[in-house]
Amino acid sequence: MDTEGTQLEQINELLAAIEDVNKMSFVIHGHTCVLIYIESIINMQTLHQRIADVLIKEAAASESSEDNIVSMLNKGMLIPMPSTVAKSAEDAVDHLVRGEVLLYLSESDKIFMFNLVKYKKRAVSESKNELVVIGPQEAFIEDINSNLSLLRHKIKHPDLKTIRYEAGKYTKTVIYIVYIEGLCEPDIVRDLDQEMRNMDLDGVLGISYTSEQTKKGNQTPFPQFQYTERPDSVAASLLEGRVGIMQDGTPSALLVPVTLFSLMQSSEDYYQSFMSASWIRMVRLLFAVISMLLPSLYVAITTFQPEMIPTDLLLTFAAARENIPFSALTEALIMELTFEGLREAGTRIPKPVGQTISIIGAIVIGQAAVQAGIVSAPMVIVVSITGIASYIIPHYELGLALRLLRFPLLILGGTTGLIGVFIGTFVVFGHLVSLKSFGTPYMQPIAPLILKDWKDVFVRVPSPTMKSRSSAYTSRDPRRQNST
Amino acid sequence: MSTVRRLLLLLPFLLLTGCWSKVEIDEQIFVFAIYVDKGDKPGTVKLTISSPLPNRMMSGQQAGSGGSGGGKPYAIISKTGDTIPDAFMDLQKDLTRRLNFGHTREIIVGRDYAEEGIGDLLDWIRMEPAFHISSFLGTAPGKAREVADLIPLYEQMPAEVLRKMNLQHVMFSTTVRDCLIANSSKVGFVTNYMLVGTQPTPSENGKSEEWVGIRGAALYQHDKFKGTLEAEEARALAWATGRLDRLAYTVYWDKGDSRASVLFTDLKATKKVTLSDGTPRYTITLTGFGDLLYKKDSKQRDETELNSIITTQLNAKVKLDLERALHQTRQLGSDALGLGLLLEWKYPGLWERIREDWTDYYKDKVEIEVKTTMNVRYLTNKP
Repeated sequence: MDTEGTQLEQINELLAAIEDVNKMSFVIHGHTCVLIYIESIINMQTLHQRIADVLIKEAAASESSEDNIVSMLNKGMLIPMPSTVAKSAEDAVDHLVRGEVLLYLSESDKIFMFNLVKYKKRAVSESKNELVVIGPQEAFIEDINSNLSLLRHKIKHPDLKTIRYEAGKYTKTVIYIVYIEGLCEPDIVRDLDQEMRNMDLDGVLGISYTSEQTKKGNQTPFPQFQYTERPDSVAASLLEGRVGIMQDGTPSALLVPVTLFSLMQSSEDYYQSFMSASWIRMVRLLFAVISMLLPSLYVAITTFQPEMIPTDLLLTFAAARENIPFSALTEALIMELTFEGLREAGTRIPKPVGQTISIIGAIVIGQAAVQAGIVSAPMVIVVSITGIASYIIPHYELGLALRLLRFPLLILGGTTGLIGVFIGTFVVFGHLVSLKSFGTPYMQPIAPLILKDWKDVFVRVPSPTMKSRSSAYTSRDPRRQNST
Repeated sequence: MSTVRRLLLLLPFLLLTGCWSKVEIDEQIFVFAIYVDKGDKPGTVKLTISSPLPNRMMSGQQAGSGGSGGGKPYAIISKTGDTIPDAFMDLQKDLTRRLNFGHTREIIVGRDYAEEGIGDLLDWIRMEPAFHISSFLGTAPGKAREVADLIPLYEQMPAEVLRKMNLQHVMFSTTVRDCLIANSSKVGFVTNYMLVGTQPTPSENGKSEEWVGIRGAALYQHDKFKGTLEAEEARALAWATGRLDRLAYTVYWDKGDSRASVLFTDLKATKKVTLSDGTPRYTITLTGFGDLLYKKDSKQRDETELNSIITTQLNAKVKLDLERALHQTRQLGSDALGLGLLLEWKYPGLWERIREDWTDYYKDKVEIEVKTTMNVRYLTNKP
């Protein structure tokens, strides 16, 4: 159906500007065979052992059994590897850039393709962003097969299903949806399936591309997906009936559906004793609230409601704010913006300079600004506590969302006082309560109120007491253990 | 609704903010105490306020960042006006910052002002939105302004001293709320009566500085000052109000040879009223639990006998004190304990009839009976 020439000639045309391609020619029984591959993305060892050496031997074999090489290949007698036949030259080149080795047989003008893909990848390392003290430390890497290997190490049951998709016209990224059949809601899998098929992008470079495509147009700063870089988190979530999305090229996995409280949990909670874990969880919730509300409350109360402050504290604030040229609101905004700038710069500072900059930051903001009389000491304290509080949240995006919300609340507090803060908080809360993530309300089990799931929200009850699965994600198989 | 429409809908909200009229914390003067006196000209009132100076407080902490150093960290300013709001406007005119009454906790009225009635003051406090009616009220023996000059030893300012004295509950801790209730129900109330004097103070280089204490009780009926009670009777009356914290009594017997001191830590009082032949008959019961602190027994009696003697003596003394105090209040015509309210609660019909003449009724016609129960614990630390 083609041919202004042989397939080989077509291939050579298509490979005109791709010059990191290697070609090996053999003459086997009088026919030319050409091996085409891109060295950097294939497993050279396997290539030589299984394909090149075999071909060389065959080429050197003087006796010709006159067996058609094609049939030999088809029967798997020559090269003991699965192969497919290319439908056209374009198809062949398509596969070539994906790490397949092309074997062209001039005799039959066919191209056989063998999958020998092997990308460069790093070793499995420790989790950097989700640290625990006790417990597994390994984290996902960019290679999807290694990630699946880590996951299958945790869940060894045939009910673990992995469905493969490819996305992105130019990147052809491999995406897997993993779930445990019988535990998760099939609707979620169907929805995701739909979304994956509808994705039509040029390139899918990170898992956030995927997640944004499936967000269903929700205009909310709160994260709709939970991402994690730890296989044990993924395994635990799958066992709760959630669905995971793993993508080649990203060392994170996405988990759906998500509730606000699952974002506030850290896997460390389950590896420590339940008393300390409960305590830490409550501290975490308190500080999450503080990271959103403290600056606005401080500004609102000192500006509009100084009657609420105990007298001695009031004198301290008043004394500290003497001679400060700005109003409380302006001061707060300046400090907050400076802190945000410092934070952003901190993530991009090259390591050699990092220490110096942090010292400068501390000195500039802490000491000098207060002593120069530009900001007051209590404001620095408030801003620092808020900054630290926002890092206590395990999920980075949720911390970002709360940080973002801090600014409108601060402006509300500084202009309308305490009632503005209350209204703002109410609006935020109302928004949270109305969010749904793949059919699960965002604030479950607070709204709707499901008291039996409170075992794992504010405190963590000891393991033997956690007999039933959280109904947030699934209504199937509610018994978690002792299922006799 | 499109986004533009939503934004337009929120625009009126900007008019609600009020941020253009906000007053920062360092643009306000927080008045901690006010002192009210009769003005020099008749019909006028002299107001004194006492408030902290934050800039002086701060320069005490940071070395060398300006500030005079050595000045007092509080200010006392007086102005005279025809009415109380007039006086305050006069004050505000001269001051650079907005007066804020949200932290006023103490009010002292001068005796001459109180004799003419503090009703105006109570009305103004009630209507001033930021004023707490839980502020304490006290009466000065002369001019309230003199009380303001006291030297604050442990606290930062005189207002703090006065407030904390009230919080100790060693005498009365009358609040504006009590006065308002009494005034509108046409009964009386009682406040602390201060004592102003000088005393050499070692911590101020031995100079004689002004010292203020509580001398006794000031009795009011409606809103007018009626008279005073000295310390012993005042304490018994304070016990009868039920808000006393702790009290020490010393009793003597054997013609003064033996004595004992008891510290009461748990003081209770109950008031009841019954009608007998149409006359209200009140019963005030004082109960106290105390610890024996000191005894000197000239006859070396044993514990049980001693205990019973002490208890009898205490009962007698407290009863006598309270009876004397109540007699004084009736003579002065001041229903200091608010006994009329009790009558209103139990016999409203009778109260309706006699409430206009309650002062006279209280003077002559009611009967008051005092009962006491004293319990002394911890007689000895011997087993």
